[in-house]
Amino acid sequence: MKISLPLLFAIASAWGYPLAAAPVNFLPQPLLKETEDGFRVPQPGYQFVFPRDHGSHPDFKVEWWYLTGHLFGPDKERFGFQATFFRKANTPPREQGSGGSKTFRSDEVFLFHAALLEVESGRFIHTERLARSGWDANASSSGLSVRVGEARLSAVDGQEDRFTLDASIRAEAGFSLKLEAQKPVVVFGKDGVSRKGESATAASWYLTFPRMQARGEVRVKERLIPVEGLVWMDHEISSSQLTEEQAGWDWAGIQFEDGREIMVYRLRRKDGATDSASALSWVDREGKATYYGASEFQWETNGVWRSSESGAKYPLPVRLKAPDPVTGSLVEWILEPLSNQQELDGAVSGVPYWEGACRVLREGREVGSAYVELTGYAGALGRALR
Amino acid sequence: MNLKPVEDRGGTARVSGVLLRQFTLRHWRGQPLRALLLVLLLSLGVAVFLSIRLANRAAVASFTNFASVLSTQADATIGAPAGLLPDSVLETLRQNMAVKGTDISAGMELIPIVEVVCAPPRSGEDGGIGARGSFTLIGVDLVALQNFAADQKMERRWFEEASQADEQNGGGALGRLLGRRNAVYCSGKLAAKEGLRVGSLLVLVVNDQPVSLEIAGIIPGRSDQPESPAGLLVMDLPALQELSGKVGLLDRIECLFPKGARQGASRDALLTRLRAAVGEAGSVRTGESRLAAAELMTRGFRLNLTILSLLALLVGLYLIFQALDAAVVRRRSEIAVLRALGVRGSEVRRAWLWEAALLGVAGGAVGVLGGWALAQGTVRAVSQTVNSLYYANNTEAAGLHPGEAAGAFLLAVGCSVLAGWFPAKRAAATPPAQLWAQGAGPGGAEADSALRTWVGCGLLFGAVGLAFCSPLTFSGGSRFALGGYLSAFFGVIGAGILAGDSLRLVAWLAARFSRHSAPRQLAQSHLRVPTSRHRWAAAGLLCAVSMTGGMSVLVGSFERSVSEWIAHLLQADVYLTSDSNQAATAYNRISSSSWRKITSDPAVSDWDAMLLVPVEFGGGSIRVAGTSLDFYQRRRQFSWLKEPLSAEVFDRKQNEGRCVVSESFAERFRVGRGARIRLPTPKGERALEIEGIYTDYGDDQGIVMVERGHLQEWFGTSAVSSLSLVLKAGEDPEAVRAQMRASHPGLAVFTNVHLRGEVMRIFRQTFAITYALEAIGVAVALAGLGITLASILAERRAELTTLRALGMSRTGIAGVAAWEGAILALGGTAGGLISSLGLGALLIFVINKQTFGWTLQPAIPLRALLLLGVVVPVSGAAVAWVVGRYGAELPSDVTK
Repeated sequence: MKISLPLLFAIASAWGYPLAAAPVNFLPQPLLKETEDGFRVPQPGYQFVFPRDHGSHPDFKVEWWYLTGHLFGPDKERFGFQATFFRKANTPPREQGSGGSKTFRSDEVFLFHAALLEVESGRFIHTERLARSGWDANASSSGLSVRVGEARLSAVDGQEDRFTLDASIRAEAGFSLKLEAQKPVVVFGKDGVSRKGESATAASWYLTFPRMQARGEVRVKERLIPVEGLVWMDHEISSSQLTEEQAGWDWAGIQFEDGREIMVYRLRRKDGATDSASALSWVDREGKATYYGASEFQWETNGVWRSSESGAKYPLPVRLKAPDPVTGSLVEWILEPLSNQQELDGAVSGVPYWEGACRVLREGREVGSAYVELTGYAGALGRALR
Repeated sequence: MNLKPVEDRGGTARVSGVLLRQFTLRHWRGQPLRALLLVLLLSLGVAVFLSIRLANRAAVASFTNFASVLSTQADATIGAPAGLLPDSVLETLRQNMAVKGTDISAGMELIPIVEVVCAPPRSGEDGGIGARGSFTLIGVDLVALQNFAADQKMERRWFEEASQADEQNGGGALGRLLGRRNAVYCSGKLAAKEGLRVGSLLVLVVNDQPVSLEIAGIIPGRSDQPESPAGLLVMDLPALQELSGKVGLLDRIECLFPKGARQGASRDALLTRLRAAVGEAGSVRTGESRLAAAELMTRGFRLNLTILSLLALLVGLYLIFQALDAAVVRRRSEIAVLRALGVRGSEVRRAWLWEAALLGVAGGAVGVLGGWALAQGTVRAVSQTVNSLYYANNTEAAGLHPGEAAGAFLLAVGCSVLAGWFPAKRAAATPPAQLWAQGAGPGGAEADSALRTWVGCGLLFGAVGLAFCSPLTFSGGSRFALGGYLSAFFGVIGAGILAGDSLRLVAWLAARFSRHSAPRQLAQSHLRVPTSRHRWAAAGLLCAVSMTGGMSVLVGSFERSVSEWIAHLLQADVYLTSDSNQAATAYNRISSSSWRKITSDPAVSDWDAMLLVPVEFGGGSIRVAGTSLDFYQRRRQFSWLKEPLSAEVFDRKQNEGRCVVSESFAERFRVGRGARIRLPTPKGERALEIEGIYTDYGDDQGIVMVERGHLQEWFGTSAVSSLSLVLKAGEDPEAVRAQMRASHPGLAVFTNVHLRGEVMRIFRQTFAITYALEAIGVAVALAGLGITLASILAERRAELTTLRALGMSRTGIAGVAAWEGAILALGGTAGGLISSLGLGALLIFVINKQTFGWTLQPAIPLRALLLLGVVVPVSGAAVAWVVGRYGAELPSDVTK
């Protein structure tokens, strides 16, 4: 699961979203069909139909498409990038679209985040954009086509595994990429449902392309650089999933040079303990996922970096220990940031967080690349969008 | 003085420094009051000029875009050539402008805007139109605004207050705000002025209904930027669309280009792409052109004010001239000593120019400060007029613009040096021997009389020739009466130069009435051969009186024309419009249901409804009025300049494709009866033939009048802007008005008498500031008269001592001065009144016609001119008497 940053909290709380009250001990109740306010709850056994299910699901309250990746230019230029499209419904499905302006809808809003790290210079550029549904932002429910302002993510000719991504970061930078999945989509969770706590609505459909080949261009100011690289793409659909007991979370998506991936998240409770809902999943070369529970891996800090902007202290680099399903032995990796300065300042959401490109080291040797997300280190999350 | 001739440049500088200290400043120290008065008079001129410039600038700057609230300016604005933009154009724009993330033009912001000019509801029988002020209610996407708050580093977030108010609910401010249809943001200024807080209610009239809006927060700004104007209110766009009846429509889209494309070729390329993307759906204007439109709209008005504001400065320059010229006379023995000691003529000239420059610096510096202070008062007057005639405007303060301040300062210094040039030249050119000769000062009274007369006559002839020049024309049909203004300037200067000659005549005439009065004869003897100081004092007065009198002629003619026009126009008994139409650009309407109900009232026997819409035409903005042409003709409401040759234009079944236009329109676009124009409408262009031209003094941009039914169909509305009701015989208009005010609280209801009074009140309010400017000009001229006489009396100390020795009392000496002052003032006033008639004609037939396009019926305001003819000489005599008392106290010993 790639939990959607502090922004999920932010969006949820900013619209009076009722966060689940019970602590997560991973003894989930049977799922309800819908939330109290009338949104659908993801159900097990759902048969995904693509490309339709890459598109929007307006019956659900929250949804996001989340892309991170590492790009390389012809002259050894290296970039890390993030592009995230969030959708949040303000009114239940039965009330959506009933009256009001179609151009300026108030029943649904979108949030877009983009960031680019120019590794050589250490220059980190990022932006956030909030838009109401209508002319300025929309998402198709028949296939992947989501747009916030000028930023777009869409399927190529309706295909289910080839997409294009276009985004700019103000006038300073931009990227235009063609993405092609190297593995089939991975659906995390038992029976296709990723449970996030014991609440009867705390669940999501969590779809991931853990390895996509990217080709295109990056622009830094007026300089255009052809790039290639690897991208990680999440698409998650839910109506309720988080608890008030969580102080934040740490997440990583690791792409190993041997063709396998790890998706790992550690939910941090307010008392500092790791929440039992935390998990690690290996994805093998064929795209098959192997699940490990909270007690089977260790997420530790290998240092601290303090942001001069927000004052937050982030546990960086990260030391991760987990069993390798091939050998069965416990392996340790260091997730080392390509630059510490990869904090997004939360200018729109109001919640700073760290989301950055890392190299993956095993016994000092680089064995892959990763994106790491660290949330809840810069104050309360629920104050977002104020 | 220890002076010696030096050749090197440094030596010259040293000589200049010594001269400045020992020669110029010593005199200033010796007569500080005179120096102070000169500086103050010059500074008053500068202050008046600067205050008008600042007020004008503030009024124009208020006609700007919403982007300025975000501390930037829109690079382009998309609007409909006629009516409103459908908001679907946004989607079209997004599709057509789709850019790759790597495009340099990526990152353009589109800010859709709905704008409504509205006003608070009346409370009882309140003041007239415009008295309640206007608010500009801007509808903007509050969600998208979050992005600007982030990018612009605003000091507060848009939803901060709402969030704080919602603290106990755990946030959710934005969601709740979007759900509320009446949430509005106000400026900090308004909140402080009205005691508004989050949750307070603000009632405004929108269209024909009072609506209650709830304050959701204060418009955030940046600490390094001026606060939002008090009259600005911000709402969520779809909420305002609904509230104002503009569902699915936009007034405009403001575009902010990405940083790399805000100028040069990138900007031009982006503008081209934008225009291609918009296509026929709208027109794209650059940010500058939108501001230029406001400048264009008010150019004539502002130019008139600016030129009037120069009156005091012009009169002040006469004073500088005569003061320095007098100084040449007073200090001639010193000049002779300097020359005898070897100081070169060029150094003497430089000393004079330095003195003039110092006067300019001191006057300019004080004037800039005074101008800024004065602007805080004038800005309201300017704003009120702009509000009434051009666009909604609540400007309450004018900032001290560095460019304007520097300009005014340099103008003061430059003009002062210019005024000092001739005296400096004379001081330097006169040989020492002549300077020693008592009574033969440089440029003696008759020395260059012939040249002066020739120059004066030449300027007057030039003025006549310039009056016949065509105006300069600009895009959008705007015109500038350059020849007219130059003609006025040349005329006033020329008449001023000749003013001295009138003194002899007046002195000769005065002598007929004072043969047996020695003091009077003594006073007249001084004017039989007037000195250059006398001449320039009279010239200053002539300048002030002629411009004041000329403006009186213009205003009098205007008032007569407007009175006759409204007598024609206002034939109905009761008039109704939205109570929010307090400004010229307020286009609030009366809904179809309301106006149909009103016109079916049993008390109504006949009625007309008018729909007024702004459209772009010929590169500028005009208005199209839809009315019942038959009603207008039947009620003889038209004041025809060129009457239609056929009655078909009045028949609604035959008048599609026909129109009548106002004189301003015909003048602005140089079209006449029979011409065909193509008018943009939301349903495409409509070809219209001009059937007649009528007078309309209520608008200087131009009006095209068509049958209402056609206009309503073209613009897809059944609402109207105003109603005219003719009541059945026996119905009391006041009673009907009271009844309609009670049943329609969102409508302004006027009886015929009331509306006529309002029109004339607004008319007089428009000219109020001109009266103030003229009064200042006359006051400066009178003060100049006082300085002149004081200077002359100081030179006549020996004569005054003799008079006192012969037994003349101080009062008697004051009487002599008063008589001399009265004759001077009379001479200046008489010349001024005569030239004011010429100037008035120039203003009416040339400047006004070329600037506003109005034909005025000439009228000579005898009462005003008579008042001027009495008040100025009497005031001049009074000032002279005071100066005479001062002169009588002067010690007989001539000391420096």
